[in-house]
Amino acid sequence: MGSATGPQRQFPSGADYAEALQHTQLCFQHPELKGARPELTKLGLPRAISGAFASVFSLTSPSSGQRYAIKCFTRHVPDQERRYQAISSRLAQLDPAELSQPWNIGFEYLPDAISVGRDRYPVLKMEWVEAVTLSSWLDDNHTHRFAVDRLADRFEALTRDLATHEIAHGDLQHGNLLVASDDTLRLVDYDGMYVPALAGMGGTERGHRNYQSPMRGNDDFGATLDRFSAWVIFLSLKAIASDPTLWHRLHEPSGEFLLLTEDDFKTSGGSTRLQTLLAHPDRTVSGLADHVRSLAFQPLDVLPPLAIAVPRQRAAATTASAVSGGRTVAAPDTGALPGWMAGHVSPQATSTPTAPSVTAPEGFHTRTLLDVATAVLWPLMLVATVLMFVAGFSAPPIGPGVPVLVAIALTAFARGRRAERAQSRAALAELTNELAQLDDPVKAAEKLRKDQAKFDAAEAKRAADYLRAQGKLTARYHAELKEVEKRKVRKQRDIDKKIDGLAEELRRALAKALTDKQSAYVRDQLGRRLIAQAPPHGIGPKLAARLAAKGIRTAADFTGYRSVQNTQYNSTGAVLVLSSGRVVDVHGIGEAKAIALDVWRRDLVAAAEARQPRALDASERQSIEQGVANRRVQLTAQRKAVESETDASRAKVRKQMEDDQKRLTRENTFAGDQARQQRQEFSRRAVALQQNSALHGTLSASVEAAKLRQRGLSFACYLRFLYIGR
Amino acid sequence: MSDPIGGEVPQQKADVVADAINRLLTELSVKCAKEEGVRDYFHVAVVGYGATVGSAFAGSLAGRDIVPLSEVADNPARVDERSKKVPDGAGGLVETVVNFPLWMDPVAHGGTPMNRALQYAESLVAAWTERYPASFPPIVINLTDGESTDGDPTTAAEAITAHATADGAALLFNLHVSAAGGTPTAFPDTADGLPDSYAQTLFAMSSPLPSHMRSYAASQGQRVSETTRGFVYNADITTVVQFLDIGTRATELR
Repeated sequence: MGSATGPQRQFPSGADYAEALQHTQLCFQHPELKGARPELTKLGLPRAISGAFASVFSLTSPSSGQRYAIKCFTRHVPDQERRYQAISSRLAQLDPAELSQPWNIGFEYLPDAISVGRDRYPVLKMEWVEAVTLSSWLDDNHTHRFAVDRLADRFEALTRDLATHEIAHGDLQHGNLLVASDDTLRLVDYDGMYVPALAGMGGTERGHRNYQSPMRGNDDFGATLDRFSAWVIFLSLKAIASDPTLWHRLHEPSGEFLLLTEDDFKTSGGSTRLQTLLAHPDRTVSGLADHVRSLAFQPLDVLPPLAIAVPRQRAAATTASAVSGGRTVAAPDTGALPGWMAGHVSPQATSTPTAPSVTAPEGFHTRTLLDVATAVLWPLMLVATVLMFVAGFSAPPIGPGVPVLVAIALTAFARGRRAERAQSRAALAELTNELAQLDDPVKAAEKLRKDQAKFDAAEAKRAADYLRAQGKLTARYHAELKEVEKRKVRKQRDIDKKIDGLAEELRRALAKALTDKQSAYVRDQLGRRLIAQAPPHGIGPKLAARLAAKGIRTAADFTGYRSVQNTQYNSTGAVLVLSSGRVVDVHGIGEAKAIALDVWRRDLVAAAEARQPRALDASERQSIEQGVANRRVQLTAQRKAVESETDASRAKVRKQMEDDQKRLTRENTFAGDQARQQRQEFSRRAVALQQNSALHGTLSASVEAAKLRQRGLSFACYLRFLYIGR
Repeated sequence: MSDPIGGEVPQQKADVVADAINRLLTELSVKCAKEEGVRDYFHVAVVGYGATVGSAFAGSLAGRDIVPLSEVADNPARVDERSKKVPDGAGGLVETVVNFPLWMDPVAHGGTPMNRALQYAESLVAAWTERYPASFPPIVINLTDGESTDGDPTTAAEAITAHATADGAALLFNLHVSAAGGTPTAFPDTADGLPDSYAQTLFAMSSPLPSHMRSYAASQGQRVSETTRGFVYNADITTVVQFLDIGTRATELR
């Protein structure tokens, strides 16, 4: 097994289980499973449904006739049995009457139930559920808008059931949510489930990557595990319910996701899928999409649960129409908050808006002495007026209207002394002041939207620039490689030409060596023939001595003669040509004697040539061949050197490219980090905006109410209060 | 390829290799089986090299190069019945017959033209990376007795790993089945201790394990480091399949 000796137990593979399950009579001891009939593929092998941690097989019990899903584990999971026991007992405590639908599946953990090879391993025996996966169901039902919408609500209800009992599934996704024939949901695969009894233990998996928040870590394990996945699924279902064409536009056949993938959450600026939803004309779709986008950059434990969104949404719909007590959720369509969000803002967002600290009084209460006096005064004054008319006091300055004016003035004074008036003014002033201190949510939302659009555009440009820079880098790399290649080919072609010429060179060198050897022989032979010893005809000792004095001792010392016209004497003479090419005039050598010498020499040459060597001997030949071979070795080495030189150049170009690429990646990672921070900042601003907007709405309503109540403190109302007391 | 190798039951090297590949294909089919059938998480080519170099699929897939896994799963050349001794639950062993799908038969004649085989693989890799630049890079697993009979395979190996997709360079893993003996070795990070120059050459040719495979190998109890390479020497058939399993674990399936 090599070094494959870890502390962990090795589990059989899916194929090992499929082999063992061909003989259920042997591999099981359990009374219901022994001899159970597995469902087979057309190859006659037990049919599997596999995940990353296990393969599930369908078995029908021969004793009970029951069909089971048997889960066989292919990987070690820490504390597996303990986890399953905890999950099983928690689920068993759930009261079916309290659940929105019968989503939980019965299972039994059987330790050492199956033998594979020499060992026994645990299995999970589960009820077989007649249901289809959420993605298959959507394949068939996405056009039934009502059914999809109802399923979205059922899904919300399911997550609420889980949240109520502090259970998290850990891997909510299209394959673990089954839809039964009555369109209710079933939740399967409890491997990664969290129940309160497991608090403090680590997670065993990270869930399907296309459903997880980029912020989910390996160790995250708690009641909030499902929140992001829940929003993603809810968004998908609501979006399909609103626009069934989205299923074909965004979902890929047998794609491992509903409408959005991991990349959509990670690069929310550039993903076309998310953009489609963000730009969707239905505000519920675009609003939910924007919400999911902002959630992707928040820590898991601050995400709002989907479950609490449902009752709020409905409550909001009823209270929004009855604006009464001055305490209402932000009015729909203020521009800052889309209507759908009324029920979907995060819990801290809805709960934080503080109620206005002061309230205006509603009407006048409790008459004072002054009020009573004023009330008494009015009839008195009216009586006085009448009396004055009768008495004829009609001339100015004391007209009949004076008592009424006095009554009015006193009433105004008494009204002014009422505390309610001051309270009302103070309350209104404070509310107006508080409102003035808040940013206008419409403007703030507009600014956020603009900032975000600007940021998205900048991000899109940055992504495009990055791609372009990468493209440029690659292009330059290829161009440089090509240049290196060209240089190599040119150099090698030159060398190859030289190598090809070596044969011809050898032939020529051999020919030249032979010629050299032959002429050396002839020269040697001629050098041995002294003129003095065997003089040619007509050359006596005296002439021989004169010739010797001029350097001509042997036949080798001259090569011929040249006739010389002596114009002065009109006679012909001759000069001898030395082997050096110089000519000498030797006294006594005329043309005739020169010819004799030449003929002598020619005869000697002919005789020597007749005896000259006809071929090179082996050693001479070998040394020449050796020279050429050396040359070949040299050229081959040069050729090789070009090769390694090219390799070096290639490596250099490659290194340059890699360095540049690393730099580019580094820069991009840095910019990506910056962008992520910026996105988090946007989410933070969005949340703040939601809170601000809710508060703004509350305050505006309060101001309106305060104004309304101030109208209740008018002169006429005061008069009414004086006599009716209200 | 016709020499026997060590192990509990001596087997011919070619049989070991063919069994390993047939098991791997079964394993992959089970691993990728979902409710509606086998998903095409992988596309597979099997290249044989001996007297000739080319597709080693037999049966209806004969002559095909890269085949989607769903099609592979449905089309073995035949399903053999192999006898096997399994525990009877009462402490004894009982002889049973199990179905064993076969896609290829052992090739144990001719030379070992590793160069040509790698060049062939390189052409498949080149076409693949060009067509699917965003996919996980192809993994070439070279199962061999090590003795390349057509020259040094290093250059051909480099040519394979020179191709890349957005996720990284193509990977070349080598599985050396040798009669030379020596300690079985899996995922070494140095060539020290390898018994011969063939093994050393194959080690040098092998790609380092990418980080996700390293962590999977580590979770399976393998000792791994940053420089661990995808190379296995003479490990028995269990490790052979295990090695292939890790080598092909390109993505988390869920």
